[in-house]
Amino acid sequence: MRLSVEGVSVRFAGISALSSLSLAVAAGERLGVVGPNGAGKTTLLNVVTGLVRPVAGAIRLDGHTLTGLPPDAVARAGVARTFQTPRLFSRLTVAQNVRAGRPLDAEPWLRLVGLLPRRGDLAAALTPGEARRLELARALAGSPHVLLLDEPCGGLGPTETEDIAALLDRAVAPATIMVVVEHKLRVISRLCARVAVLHLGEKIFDGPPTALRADRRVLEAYLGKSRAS
Amino acid sequence: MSDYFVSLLIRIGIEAFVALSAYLLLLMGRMSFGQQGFFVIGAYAAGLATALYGMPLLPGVALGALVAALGGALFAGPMAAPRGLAFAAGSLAFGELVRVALLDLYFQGQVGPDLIGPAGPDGFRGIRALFTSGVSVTTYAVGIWLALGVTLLATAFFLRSRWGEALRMIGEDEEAAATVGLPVRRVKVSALAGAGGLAGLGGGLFAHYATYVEPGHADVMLGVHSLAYAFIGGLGTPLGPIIGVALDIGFLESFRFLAGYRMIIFGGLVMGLLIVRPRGLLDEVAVHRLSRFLMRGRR
Repeated sequence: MRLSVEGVSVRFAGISALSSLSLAVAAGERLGVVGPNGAGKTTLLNVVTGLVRPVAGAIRLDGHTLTGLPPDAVARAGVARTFQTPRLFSRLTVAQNVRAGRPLDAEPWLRLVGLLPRRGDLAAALTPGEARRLELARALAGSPHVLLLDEPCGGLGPTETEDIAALLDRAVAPATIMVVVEHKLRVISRLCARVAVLHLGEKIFDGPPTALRADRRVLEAYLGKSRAS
Repeated sequence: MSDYFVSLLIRIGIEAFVALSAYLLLLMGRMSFGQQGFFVIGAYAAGLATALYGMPLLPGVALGALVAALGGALFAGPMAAPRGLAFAAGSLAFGELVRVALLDLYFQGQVGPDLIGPAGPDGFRGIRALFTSGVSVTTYAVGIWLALGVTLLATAFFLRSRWGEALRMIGEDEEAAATVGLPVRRVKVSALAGAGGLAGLGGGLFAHYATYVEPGHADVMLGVHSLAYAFIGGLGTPLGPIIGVALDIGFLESFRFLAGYRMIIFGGLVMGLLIVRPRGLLDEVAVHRLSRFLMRGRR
C-alpha cells in the first residue's frame, strides 16, 4: 500500500494553496506535516479526501487514482480523516457517531478510546477532549489503509495531548499509513519518523524530525530571513 | 362521531403525510417550500388512475404516491446537491412550476356522460371512486389513520436503521458524512423520492375525499404549513410532525370564536416556541432524555 501525491496544485480564487506538491507515504509509515498558518497543510488533507479538487496533479492509493472521486468514494477506498475542529454528529449518540451508518460494532472502538461508558450519550454532551477521542474512534473504526489527522491535539492541554499521542501510538494498526498535521513538534517527534514542512503551498523540507531545526529554509519560513540568519 | 369531527380527523390525517414529508427533508438539512408540488402530483395521478382509467381506490392512491415519488427522484437530479437558501428557493420554484403547469394541463376523457380529467384552471373534478365504491366517510377516515399509523411505523423503523442514521448525519454535516464513506448522493435521492411519495400519498387521499383537485391546491402555504408542523412538533421523532399538525389545526379550530385574531395569536405562539425550542417540542435532546427515562423505568 502506498499513498502518492503527484505534482498536486490547488488554487482558491486565483491564489495558490498548493503548488506542484509531491509526497509519497508507504504502508506503515507515519508522516508528520508541519508549517506556518496558511502553508497548505489542511488543504493537503482536503485534496486527498476529495473535499477539494486539484487543478493539476494526481493522488493515488496503491496505484488507483483517487483524484476526482467524491469524498465518500475516497473514504470507501480506505482513507479516513479527522478535522481541525472535531466534526461530530452532535444530535446522534456517541455509539452512532462511531458506527456512522456503517455495519460495524462500535464497542471495541469506544473501549479503545475510553468512551465506552458514554456510548449512549449524545455527542453534543462531550468535552473537547472526549470529542477528539470520539472523532478518532470514528476514523479508526473503518480500519482504514490511510489515516489523515488534522491537528489531533489542537486546543488540548498537556495531559490530554499526551493521552492522544499515546492513544495514536498504540491504536493505529502497524500497516496503516498515517499523516499527522500538527503544530506541536513534540507530538510529531514522538509519533513520526519523517516530517514534511510546507510553506506557502510548497514542500520545503522532507526528512527526520531531528534534522528539522537545523534546516535553513524551515527556520526562514518560521522566523523570517533576518532572524533565521 | 359528528361529520365535523370526522372531517377534522381526515384533514389532520392528510396534512400529516405532507408534514412527514417535510420532516424527512428537514432531517436531511433541507428546508423544502415545495412539498405541495408533490402533493398535487399525487392527487392528479391518483385521480387520473381511478376516475379516468377505472382503477380501484387503493391501487389508484398507491399509484399516485408512486408517481410523486418518481417526481421526487427526478427533482433530486438537479436538487440533491444544493443546500440552504439555494435548496429552499429551488423547492419553492418547483412548487410554483407544478402549480403553473397544472393551469395549462388539459387531459380529459369521456367517462359515461361526463368529461373527466384535468381541465386547466378549472381543475380536476369528478374523482368519485371513494363514493362509488361504497366506502363511508368514517371508514375512509379510519383508513387514512391506519395508513398514517403504518407510515409512521415504517418511518420510525427506517430512521432507526443505518439509512436513518445516514440521513441525520447528512443533515448535520454533509462533508463529514461523506468522509466516513456514506453514499451521500444515494441517501439524498432516496430521501427526496420518499418525501415526494409521502406528500403524493396525502394528495391522493385528499383528491378522493374532496372529489376534486385544482392547481390552487399547490399553493405555497401548504408547503409553509408542512414545515411549521414539523418544527412545532419537533424533529426528534416522526411523531413530532403529526403532533404539530394536531396542535396547529386543533388550536385554530378550538378558537374559532376569536375569528381572525386566532391566526395572530397562534403565529405569535409558534414564533415564541421556536425561539425557545428551535427544533420543536420533541427535539432530539427531549426524545433522547425521554427514551433514557423509559429505559431506566424498564430495568
